[in-house]
Amino acid sequence: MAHELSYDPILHSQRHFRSLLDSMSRPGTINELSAVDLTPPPGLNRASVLVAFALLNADVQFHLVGMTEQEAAYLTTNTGSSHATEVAGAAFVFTAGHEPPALLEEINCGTLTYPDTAATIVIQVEAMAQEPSADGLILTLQGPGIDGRTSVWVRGLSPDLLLALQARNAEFPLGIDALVTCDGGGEGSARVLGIPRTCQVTWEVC
Amino acid sequence: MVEDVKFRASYNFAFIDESTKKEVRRKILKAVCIPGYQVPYSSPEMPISRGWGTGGLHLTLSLIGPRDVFKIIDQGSDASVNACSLRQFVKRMTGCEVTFDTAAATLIQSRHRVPEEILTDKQILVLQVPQPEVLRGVERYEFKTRQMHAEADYAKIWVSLYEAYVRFGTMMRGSGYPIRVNGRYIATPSPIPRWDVPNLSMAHCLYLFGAGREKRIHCIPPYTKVEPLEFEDVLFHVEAFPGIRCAASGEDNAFLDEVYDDEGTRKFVINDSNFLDKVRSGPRPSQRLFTNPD
Amino acid sequence: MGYVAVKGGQDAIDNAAELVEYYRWRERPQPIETTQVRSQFRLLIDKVMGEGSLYSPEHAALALQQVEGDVFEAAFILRAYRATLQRRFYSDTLNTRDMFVQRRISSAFREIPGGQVLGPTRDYTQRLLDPSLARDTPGIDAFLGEFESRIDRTKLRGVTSFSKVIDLLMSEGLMRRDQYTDEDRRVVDITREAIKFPAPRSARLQMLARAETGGLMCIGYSTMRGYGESHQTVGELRMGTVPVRITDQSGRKRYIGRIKVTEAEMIGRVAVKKKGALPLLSVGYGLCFGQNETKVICMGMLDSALRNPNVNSPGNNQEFVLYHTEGVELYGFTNHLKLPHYVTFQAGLHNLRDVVDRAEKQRGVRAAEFAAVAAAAAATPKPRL
Repeated sequence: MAHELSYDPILHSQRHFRSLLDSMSRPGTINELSAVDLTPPPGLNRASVLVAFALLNADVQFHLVGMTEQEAAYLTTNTGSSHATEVAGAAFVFTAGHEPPALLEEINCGTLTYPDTAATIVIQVEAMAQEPSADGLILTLQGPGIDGRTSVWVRGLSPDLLLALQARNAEFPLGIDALVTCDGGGEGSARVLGIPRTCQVTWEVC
Repeated sequence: MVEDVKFRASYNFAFIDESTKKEVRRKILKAVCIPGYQVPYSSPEMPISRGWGTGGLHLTLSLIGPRDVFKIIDQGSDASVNACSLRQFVKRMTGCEVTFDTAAATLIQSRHRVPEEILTDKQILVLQVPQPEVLRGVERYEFKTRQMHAEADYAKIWVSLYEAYVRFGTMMRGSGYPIRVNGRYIATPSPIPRWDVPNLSMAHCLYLFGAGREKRIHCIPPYTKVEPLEFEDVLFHVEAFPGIRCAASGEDNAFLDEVYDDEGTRKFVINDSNFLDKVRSGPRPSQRLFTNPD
Repeated sequence: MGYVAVKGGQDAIDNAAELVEYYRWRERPQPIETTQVRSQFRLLIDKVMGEGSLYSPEHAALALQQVEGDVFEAAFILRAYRATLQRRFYSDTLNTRDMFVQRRISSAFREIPGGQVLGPTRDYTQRLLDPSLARDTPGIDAFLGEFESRIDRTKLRGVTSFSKVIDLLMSEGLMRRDQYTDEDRRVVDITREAIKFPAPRSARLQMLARAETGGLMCIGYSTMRGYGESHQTVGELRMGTVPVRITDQSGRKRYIGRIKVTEAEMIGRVAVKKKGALPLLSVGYGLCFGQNETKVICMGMLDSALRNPNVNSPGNNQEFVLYHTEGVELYGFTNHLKLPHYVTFQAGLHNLRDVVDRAEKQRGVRAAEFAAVAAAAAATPKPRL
């Protein structure tokens, strides 16, 4: 199983973490994760892999939806984290944006005394941009981290998934935080967008 | 004779091991997603004493990269002895560029002050926190304060402010004035003076708070509403320095330190040492100033 | 100008560090070697290893030498060093029944299987200051030669391991393994996650094992004097070396060495709430690195006390005991008061001045009112009584 030798566990993970921090602190800002020479397995996009490499270790588990042994083994080899058979046991859940939303019911959304124990969901989409394009959703975001409101366009994100996420996030501080990932336009490009549980999202189809 | 190899000390970049950095980073992200809530974290021991900035260091060292420009102040001053000690440690462990210039820094660690100069959306301010539990003064038990935050049961702290007002005519919170973050969690802004509290609300920069000894991280994201606790008829005020100017620069409208010279004469000097340097040598950097209600 | 307006902070701290070295060496003493600290300050090293939470006599000796014997600083250095070490394994549970016993006593029974073994202890010496070490060089070779000649080597093979005194009580049914079944039995590692309250027993024991001895003594003692319900008996105190084993990645058990530990099993009573329930015996457990009997006795007392929470008694209060015996945190925070606090202090002065001004104005207003009333009274003719 491929151990990614070009990935620098110190410097890449620090740099990518800063981008992820910026994404979560300023929802709606699309961040480009700096390029690393990687060969992700078919079910995971480059940005999801870099999120995993930056944040997973043996102390936490992940859960993959609609993927195979290959993706799980790749993440385990490169991070030391293991696949949780029960979604509720995972700190990070990786899913495609068009997946049916039933899985959201089981994702850990924290407790009132420890809302930080909630999971983070990594949603893989086909494309995202600040400016709208065709066949997607225009998301309008409001809340902490946003000056007024901001919009961003994504393709490959199901409105049902957004509705289900909204439902899980209805009782703050309980909730699930989301990172939306996709491969970018250029070679090796990886994009990420943050939607913390505090973010109010409305959308229109375009 | 003990062989050198047993005691050879070589350090990971930014000192902390990568596994712990990941844990801190995950916790930072959760803190961002739950503004004002105290996230417990492992807080391993550092070569710096507990109570002297280990929480700030955990954050700084988990955030910092080789291209960051790092500034550290204590009570507003870059040259303060503990700031020098921590700066030396961070520089030794990262090789980063360090600066006294607030505008040039990408990452600022501070004990008990927010810089006067407005911070931008490219900057992160890490504040050192001695007691992250804003309710600790009214409730000594952690298991109870955790429950109080869970239920947003903040009656005790409101009562303590009210009682202080009734007894003394003021809320008696000079520093570390309690704030409500994003309309939900009541938190401590760390022991910054009231002067700095309005700077926390709807800011461009990211604020992270690290309490190493108590093992908690909390966050105020940018553009987040932060309200100091006040009553309808007893409003929040910042410190006033009526008719007083800085003895070194002649300027006012900044937080001033009281200092005594060798003759015992009391003078006031701008506390923020880099801000003072700038106003003495050039144009006054932009600030966010709060006007006290009448 | 105040001192911080001067940009000499770095110079000041560099000079301060140099002054420490100056005062250390200025009498040009004969430097002691780390190996001498290690071999001749054994009990100090044991204390530092226990509070530093790192079993390494050489590192403890070096730390003590580096800080001129300041125990808090030395334990702190070990903790900080430990935090940089890579975690490869968790060891298998130590089995103290495998201990190569140097000392083993019980206060609960006069005679026990295997006997009371006093071992190396100063408990029964008189604390008379002895100048001989200052005056003479000890005749080590003569002493060792004479001592070793009195050892009957034919008996050495017979010394194996010792059974536990509590086994006697358990076989009689006065103590049971299952008495705390509804207790939180999770094993957590408080060096990897912050402690949360109420804490499971594993977290409490882990913190007590690393706690500062004086702090434990203080609170343990208080439980003996009415600030808690406890007068326990030393069921067994043993000190010696135990083997440490780990399970490697392929699943094989590996022996990695021996460490010296002290262990106490303090016997108390189970607190009963239900009518008719028997107040059977319970064990308060203490274990630490090296030889530190005070620590394990107090640890055992507090382990028992913490199983009976009672917010009115400090020793029975988890948060009080665990938060206030964590040596590195105590040392750091109490001493942090030496850091500049002028902003916070002045912010408080502002507040106070406002209050004083307000009070003076009020007094001024009242004084004026009083004066007005008094003047009016003086002006009014008084009726004759």
